[in-house]
Amino acid sequence: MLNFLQPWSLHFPVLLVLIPLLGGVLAPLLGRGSRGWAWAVLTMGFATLIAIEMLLAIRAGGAISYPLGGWPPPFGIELRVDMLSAIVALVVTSVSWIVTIYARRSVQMEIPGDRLGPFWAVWLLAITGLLGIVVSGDAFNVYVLLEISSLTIYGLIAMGRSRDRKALVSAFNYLILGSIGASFILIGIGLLYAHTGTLNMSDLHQRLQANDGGATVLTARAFLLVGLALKMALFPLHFWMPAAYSTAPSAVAGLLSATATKVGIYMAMRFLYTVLPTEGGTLTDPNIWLLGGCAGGAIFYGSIQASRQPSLSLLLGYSSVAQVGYIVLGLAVGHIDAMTGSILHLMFHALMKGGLFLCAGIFLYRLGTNDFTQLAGIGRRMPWTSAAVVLGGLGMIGIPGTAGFISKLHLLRGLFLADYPILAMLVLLGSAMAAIYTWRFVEIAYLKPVPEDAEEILEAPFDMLWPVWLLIGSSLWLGLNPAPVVEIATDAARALLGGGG
Amino acid sequence: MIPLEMLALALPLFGAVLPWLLRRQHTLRNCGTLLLSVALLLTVIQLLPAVLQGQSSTVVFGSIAPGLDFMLEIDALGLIFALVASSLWILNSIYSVGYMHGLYGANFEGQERYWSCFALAILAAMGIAFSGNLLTLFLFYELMTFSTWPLITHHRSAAAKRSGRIYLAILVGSSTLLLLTAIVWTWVLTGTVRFEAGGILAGSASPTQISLLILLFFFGTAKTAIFPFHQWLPNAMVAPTPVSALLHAVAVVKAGVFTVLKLSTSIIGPTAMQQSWGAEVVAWFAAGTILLTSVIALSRPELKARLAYSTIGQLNYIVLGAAVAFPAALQGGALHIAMHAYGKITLFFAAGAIYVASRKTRVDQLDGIGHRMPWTMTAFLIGSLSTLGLPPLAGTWSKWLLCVGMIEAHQWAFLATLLISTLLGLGYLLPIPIRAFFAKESTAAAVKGYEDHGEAPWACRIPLLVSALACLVLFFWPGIYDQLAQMIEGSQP
Amino acid sequence: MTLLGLFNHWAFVIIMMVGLYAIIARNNMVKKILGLGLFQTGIFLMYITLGVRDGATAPILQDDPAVIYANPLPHVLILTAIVVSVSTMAVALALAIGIRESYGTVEADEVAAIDQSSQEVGC
Repeated sequence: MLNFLQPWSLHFPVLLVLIPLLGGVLAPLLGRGSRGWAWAVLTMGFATLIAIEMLLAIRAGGAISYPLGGWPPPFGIELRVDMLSAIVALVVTSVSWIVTIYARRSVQMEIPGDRLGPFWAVWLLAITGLLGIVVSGDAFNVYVLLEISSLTIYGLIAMGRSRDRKALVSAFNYLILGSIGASFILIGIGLLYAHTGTLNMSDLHQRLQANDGGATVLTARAFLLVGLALKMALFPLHFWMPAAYSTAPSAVAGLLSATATKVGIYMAMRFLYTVLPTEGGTLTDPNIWLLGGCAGGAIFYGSIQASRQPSLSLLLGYSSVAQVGYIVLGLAVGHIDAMTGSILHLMFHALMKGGLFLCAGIFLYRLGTNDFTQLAGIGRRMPWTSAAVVLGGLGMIGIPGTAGFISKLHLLRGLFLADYPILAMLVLLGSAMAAIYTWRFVEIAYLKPVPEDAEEILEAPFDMLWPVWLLIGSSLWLGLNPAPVVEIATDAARALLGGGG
Repeated sequence: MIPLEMLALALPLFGAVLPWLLRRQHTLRNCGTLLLSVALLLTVIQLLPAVLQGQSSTVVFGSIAPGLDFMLEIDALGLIFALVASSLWILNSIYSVGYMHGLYGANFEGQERYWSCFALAILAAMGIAFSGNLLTLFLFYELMTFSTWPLITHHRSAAAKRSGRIYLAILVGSSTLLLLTAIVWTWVLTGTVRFEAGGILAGSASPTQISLLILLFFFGTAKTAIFPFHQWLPNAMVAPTPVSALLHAVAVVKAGVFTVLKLSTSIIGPTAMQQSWGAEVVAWFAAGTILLTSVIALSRPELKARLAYSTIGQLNYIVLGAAVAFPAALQGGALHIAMHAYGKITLFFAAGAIYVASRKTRVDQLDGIGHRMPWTMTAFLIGSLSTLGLPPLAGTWSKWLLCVGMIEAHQWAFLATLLISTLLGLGYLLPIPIRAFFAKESTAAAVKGYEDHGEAPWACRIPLLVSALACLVLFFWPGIYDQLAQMIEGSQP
Repeated sequence: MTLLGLFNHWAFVIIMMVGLYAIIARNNMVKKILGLGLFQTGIFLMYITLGVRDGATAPILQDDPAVIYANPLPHVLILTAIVVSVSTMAVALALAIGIRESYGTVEADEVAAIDQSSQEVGC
């Protein structure tokens, strides 16, 4: 542990939220130019450091409970960080740090100069909300922080308007659906409160476990499921996502794909396993088949749609729909290995898809578009960026040697052991279909000739390229040496499923 | 001091980087690649003594979870494959220079990609040969699929694109849907994926499960081109000839048959194989593939397509041996990896040499060409005879052992299959060299601009003469390959 | 008790459904936003209902132990939710203004038609 952080170690959970919050509030004061960007990088770097330290602390000493204002839970508001929260917090901070580093040029190109200050403010506030959800131990706070992150994200997406006015429409549609989803979550939390009289998550879980009867809790579960499915873009409630990701500023798309949906999935894990009553640590069969069915639909529909999209960002958006399906499969079955696979895929997908969206952003930066018609022969014009896309795509397929394989392996093992071989076949079919849409890009980039009228373009600038390669490269490294990550993911899964963790 | 196994992976890896470091300096790069390939062969030879003495060591280069590592371990079967691949890499590198430079000039387009992917495929072959568990094997198996795709689509034509799609669809589809299922299932059943003598499944899986696993494993390994997953191989003929030679003789298909032999000996276990109905089904499919492709080969006028179908048949000899899994059959299958490689690469080299010299691609154009290209066609004759398993050439031994294996197993139908396919082979391969030497050359068959061609350049001719010579030498001194094949698990009666 | 006793529930469910209907069925984006507001107001009513007890008074501590207090927590919660709802409205209206500026309309189908046609021109 870093020594200068030692005195603060008790306060890590709250610092994790406060740092980006303060950073966000101060960002507009820094005015135009790159100063806002530098400030955001600094803030996120510090937050990442704290997330790392927090993970180490939890690994050494178990979950941290932090009573806000000194009021003991369940009466006061509690921040509670266990292994899973620490992992997701680290994913959110580290990936958004890297994306922030990358974002300078693309944001300056896509956002008008006078909006740069507010942009970085909103950017940091969105991360604040996401981190808040992750550390919160109080159900109502989750709702509030969810809305903080959602409102800022609507704003971020809408800032894509100066490139493509469709951004406004997709932000508006996302706002309507997102608000309905959040309202459903609010209703669910209200019903749980009506039944138990508490809002503290672990307290809720204990009380519901003791007395889970009644239509109230069932209704609450239904509302929560729908709300969460909307937030994590689970098929068939996914349709806002590809539109939003493809029209948002490219850096924002990278940020969202790596963090926002992941936090949605985190919430689903949290609510389904540690708030709502479970049956001996797993979901009941109807729940499994409902979620499994949606996940299967997501894998098929997402992969098929991804292979027919006209542009790289849309392809990536639909591929995210499919990948969410994978994660939900493991989440639904609730076997320890499957859950480990889900948590691993949550991390790895953040790395890979984040990197891929950044590549799409680079194409946008150099070509002004990432439509496939303009990407013909791009493999020879921008070899490093294209190679990164190919490697990221191989990770989506789950080729051994990439991180995607590791999570797929655990997921498959869990599905086999939990006796759901049909769902295991879905995973395999999905990865075969990922090969189809990845290869679409490969054929366009490497086999098609460069258009005759194409202007001479340079490879991406180095300061955009290295964050991309950092993300993609780390996913490759983790594909060969994932043991420590697998270990913490297993810890998190065990804690989540209540198996003596 | 890095372990020799790792060196055997590092050398081709360096070979994959080299072309990008030496862009446009093609002479330097060619020399470098050649040096690396020689160094690789020497490294593999260095590994021999330990294996012959029965020692084994493992190298771990990555870990997923405790007990689940990326791991290298060397055994006799792996060394056979590694020796074949590394020795033929040398020949193929020389040949590539002759062929590609002869056709497309010294600075042909995409040369960096070509050389780099070639080296990657060799890296994958080494990795497969030395893998110590299913996971590592799968890693390199897929690396080989993806590293050869750019070679198959080298020409970027519509046909190349189509072949590339078929190639990926069959190989990736089968390996992710069937092979990976089988691997995970094995892992779930036994808790390990390590290769162990006599197999790991016995005792942890019921006979039905074993049979299903055999089906998943054998059909998941579509690189063996077993029916109905054979279609990628003839389609891949669109690639440049050195690539076809690499695919057919050196790396890709041999990786497939190596995998099934390895599975048969070290995962499922010969005893379980002999008793399972799954292996029976696979054997019948393999036998059917042998006959089917022999008949198709008879009807193909393009030389390379004919050779491709012949390869599918020959590969399924090995699959048949692995499925029958009696000692002599396994030994013969392992030996056939090596023996078929030298014969078939000679044939492909010859086909390529003919194309470089005369631009001829069809069998019926080759009448009388033996007078213009005596060296090439002599080598072709030797290669054909060896492929068919006729003495005094290398293929004899492996085919003999395979036949003995069928007799041991009392599988008369399969024995008949082997014999019939040899007869059919006589029908589709031998007429080519015979007509080349004894038929009268027809001027109508000549390609415009190449009416008065001679031999192919020396860089093409030397490799094919060397490999033809190897066919002869290996008949009289099968030596090291024979010793290694006798050491394979389950090949001792 | 049964039906009339749940009068508040009936009220908030109906308000929510009216709001949801407006979001789905209205074409005009501003009307959609109004629907969203109604929908969320319904939820507020639900929370407020949770805190109600018959004959209860404001939760100010008194000496008389017989006084029944209403549960203050849901009311406090819903204050926060109201703030959230207001902010959502603000963002939504800002987006609607933006859409009006760049498309010249806030009718959802017209906007979709404009996007459709510009895409066809673009290709």
